[in-house]
Amino acid sequence: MPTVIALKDVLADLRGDPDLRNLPDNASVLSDVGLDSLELLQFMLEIETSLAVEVDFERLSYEHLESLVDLASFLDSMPRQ
Amino acid sequence: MLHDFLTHAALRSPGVQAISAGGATLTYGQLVHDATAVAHSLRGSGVQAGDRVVVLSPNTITAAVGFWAVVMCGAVVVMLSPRTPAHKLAWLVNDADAAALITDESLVGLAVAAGLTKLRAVIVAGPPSALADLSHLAHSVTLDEAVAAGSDADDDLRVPARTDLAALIYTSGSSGEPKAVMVTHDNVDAAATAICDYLYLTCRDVLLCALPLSFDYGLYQMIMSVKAAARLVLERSFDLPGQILNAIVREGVTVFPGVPTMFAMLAKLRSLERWDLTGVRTITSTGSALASEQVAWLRGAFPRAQIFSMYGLTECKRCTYLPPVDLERKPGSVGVAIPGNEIWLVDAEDRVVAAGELGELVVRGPTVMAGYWRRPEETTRRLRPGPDPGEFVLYTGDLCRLDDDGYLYFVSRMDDVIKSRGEKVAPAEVEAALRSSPGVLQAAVVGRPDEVLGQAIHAFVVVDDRSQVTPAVLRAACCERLEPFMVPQAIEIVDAMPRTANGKIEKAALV
Repeated sequence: MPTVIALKDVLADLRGDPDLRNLPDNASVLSDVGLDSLELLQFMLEIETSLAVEVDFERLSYEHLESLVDLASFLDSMPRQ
Repeated sequence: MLHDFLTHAALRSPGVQAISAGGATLTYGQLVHDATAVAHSLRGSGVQAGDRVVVLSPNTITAAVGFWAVVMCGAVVVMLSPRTPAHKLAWLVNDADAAALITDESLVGLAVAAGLTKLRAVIVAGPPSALADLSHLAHSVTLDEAVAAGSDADDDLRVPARTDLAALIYTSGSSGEPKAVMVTHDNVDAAATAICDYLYLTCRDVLLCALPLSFDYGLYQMIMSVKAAARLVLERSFDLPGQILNAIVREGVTVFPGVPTMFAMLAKLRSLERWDLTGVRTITSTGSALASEQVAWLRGAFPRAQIFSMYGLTECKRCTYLPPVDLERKPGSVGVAIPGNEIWLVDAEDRVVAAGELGELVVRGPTVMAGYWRRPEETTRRLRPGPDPGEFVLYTGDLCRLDDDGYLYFVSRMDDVIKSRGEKVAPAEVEAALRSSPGVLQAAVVGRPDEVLGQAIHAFVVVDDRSQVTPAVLRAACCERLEPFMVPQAIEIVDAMPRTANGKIEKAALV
């Protein structure tokens, strides 16, 4: 799933940790990666740039953050910029 | 007494919604009923007046019921963050010498990992199955069982004295070990009354709190909303700023407390105009002074809100607030002393300094803490005799200036404590976490100016050449031992530390 791979790239760059590219697809950016609230926002803003999407923050909820696959599905439903 | 706030709100407005969190709600009548029942249950399980009871919970109704129950039974409440790592939780519970724990089923695993075997009672919000791992403890019940058992109690709960302790609030200590600020019923009453007063809080207000209740700024939102018989909307965290804005609109929020970091995060969202934020009448901010640009942004985003920039320390809750009319007239100032308190600045010889000069802030008034829990030396350092016999005033350790009109400007800490996201971080505690990793020889942590965080935490580490330590490994070690706000934003492995002439690490060269 190309979006999941892109998410791992963004995470790895954000944290400066190449190992994050090897995360399982069902990993959660909150409970497994441990992003705090500020990192999560930076992550979402980086995603907007790298995937050329506008994240709908009004709809983004915890259920979209349960796994990278869930987040990718949410992002794939966003209009491309 | 502090719980008079709740009993009187319930007498006046029993059917009015007191709190909502995660889809659950309680009226004032239900809140006082449940809290009273749990207070009886705590007493029934052996919790005595003055005992410490830990409330370890996310921002849920359980946290609110737990807080008021502990206060009502005359015990001392210790609100701890659900993000506390296990080993630190064990340290804190041991330091507080806690008798009981009120927690949530999602945190039972954390409590078990912390090995909390000395507790006399545990109350868990969740189904009976949530108690399975706690069978080794003497008295563990679900919150529902505690409410049911306590509802039948007809004995009187002991009424605490105004000078009795109501809470221990942990804060970072410059030595690296957290220390608990002892807060009396009088302290909380005075602070909540003063703040409700200058914010003009009323029963028509709806407060939204996304700040953790383990943080005194968050905890006071809950206390003040009850004092005003207002409604509190508790949000789990600030992880999803869009959901916070949704809640502001959906719940008709009128008062929105935050720290500059939260407002800086909101400012990064595009399409803010999709949320109608005109219902917010009051924005409060503390942790650091609001920059002029942030004030301008807040005015645009919340067009009808008065903005209160405030400042304080856990040791006296709130020192000052800047009246909204002075925001442009006194840029960078954190304002004047709150009602009932008095402030002045002194030099190293304890002489009051003139306007414009730098000095240590001293606070006098009813919000000044009773001392640090079981730390008499640190208490003596901070609390010194005041003008009246038997009175103590707080030497804050904050370097400030007062202008000719008596408006305060925070300059820096006198120790090396970092202020990040509005919370204090002791470099020594972060350095100890870093040194816990095998292969780390030296660690030095400093705060660097950051427009979002106030100060960002930067760590410098010297490692053994033979080790395979990476910044990611060190970060993981910090996450295991520290709460999230203490984890460094940057960890740099360096060959050597800069040193002063006498061999100490020269932190000024790292900032």
